[in-house]
Amino acid sequence: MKIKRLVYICMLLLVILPFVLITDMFPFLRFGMFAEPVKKDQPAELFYVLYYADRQWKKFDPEQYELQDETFQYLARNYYYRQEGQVLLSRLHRSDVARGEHWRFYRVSFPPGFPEFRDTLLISSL
Amino acid sequence: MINRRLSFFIGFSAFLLIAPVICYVIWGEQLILKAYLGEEPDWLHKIIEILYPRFFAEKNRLELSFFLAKVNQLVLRYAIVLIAVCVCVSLYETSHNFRKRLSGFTEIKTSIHNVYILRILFFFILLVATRDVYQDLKALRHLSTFYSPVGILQLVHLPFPGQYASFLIYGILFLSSVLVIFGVRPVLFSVLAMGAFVIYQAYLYSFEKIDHGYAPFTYACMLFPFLLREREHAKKNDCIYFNSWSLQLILIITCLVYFLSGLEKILISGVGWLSPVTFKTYLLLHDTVIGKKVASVEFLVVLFPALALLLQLSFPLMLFFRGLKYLILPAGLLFHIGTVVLFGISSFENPWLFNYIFFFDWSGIGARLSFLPPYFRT
Repeated sequence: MKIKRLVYICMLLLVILPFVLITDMFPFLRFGMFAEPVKKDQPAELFYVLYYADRQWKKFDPEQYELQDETFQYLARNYYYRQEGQVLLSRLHRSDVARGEHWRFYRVSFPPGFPEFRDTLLISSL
Repeated sequence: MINRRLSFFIGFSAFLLIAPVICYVIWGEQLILKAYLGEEPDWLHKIIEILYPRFFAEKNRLELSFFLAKVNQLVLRYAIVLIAVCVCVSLYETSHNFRKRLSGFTEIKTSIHNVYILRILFFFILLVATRDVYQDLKALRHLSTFYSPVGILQLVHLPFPGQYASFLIYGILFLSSVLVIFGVRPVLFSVLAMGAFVIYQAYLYSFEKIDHGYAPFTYACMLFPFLLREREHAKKNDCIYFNSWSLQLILIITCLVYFLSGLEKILISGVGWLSPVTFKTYLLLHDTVIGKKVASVEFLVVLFPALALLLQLSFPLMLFFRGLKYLILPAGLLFHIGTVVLFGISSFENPWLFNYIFFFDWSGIGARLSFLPPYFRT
């Protein structure tokens, strides 16, 4: 009976706590996906990285290293908004994902549904 | 005695409510402004790093008003939960009727046969869902320079796993699940499987992106050892039927997760979330073929978000009206298929759906398995 009460109270509190604090507290998570309001003119964003190897520029393909593109996009987006493009590139350079001599980090933005109106911006280079 | 205890509890809760609210009113906005401008004191910086690490990325993309609204939300939610707890505790202490009803609500009648089938189904699903654990961890090693451990890993100072550690995590998860399926020390091995499953996710989410896909399944995984313990106890006492609190708690938590997802939308975006513009923008941002077609049909961009919200908020109704599961669970299935088709998110093998097995009674199937060899028998 005591265990039942203890587990009930702990589990309910731990499940509700991320909702109250509006943050994830792994393994207890906040379910805020799609909850944030969006602006009508909010652009769609894509990030990509180029690296220079074998005398040519190549596009870094995360899926080649069994990484979901979604995960890479999320990571790149965070680095972009923290204004840490250089850090992203130097970490990629230090990792074993690709042997590049030079690296470039780009952001592509376009109105949702109209990728033909894309605007490409060089964020950082290494 | 009860009255004195209750008065103390209410007084203490009032203090817990009033003190932080007063502090927030006096200093809150000023501190948020400082944090937004990057001039926050060290102690606040550390708190934000622990509780809301995304702030440092989001502050460059969102306006100050967004964060002020978020903290107002936090205070509001804190107050609502504290008041709700106070009301429940007061009713529990003073009303015999409430206590009796609550006690009845926290348990569900089940059978050893039902738990037997749930055990096989659940751990078989766990085996299938985590078949790529080793590959996932191996792949993430390429990005170990980006490793930013979640709180639980920081707490135990675990580094990113090497090849052997990755294999060990997968081995424990696989072997424990198989042993639970065959009924070998199920309580012990279900705890081990749960531990390995949580550690695997902790590593997976230590690259800044936390995925909610496994969340309800993980909660069920945490509670499953208690359900197996209850079953063992019932078997020892030669009872086929018993009242299970852990099974009911799994159902409550599953419904609560959907309900909180719906509530989050209302609290964060208000009725604006139901606006066709919001849904249409989400569809276009995710850029799938069917999503773009739906975005062009005015009727559907009004209907779909309303149905999604209604579904999420109505999940707890199944706890009071069991028959509603035949309506709500198929709707839930369609909802998850919809997120795959319209947004390209997750896959048809959505772990949120795995918890639906707990809403059905498998006693009939379990009782008919007595012809099987010992390890497969209930």
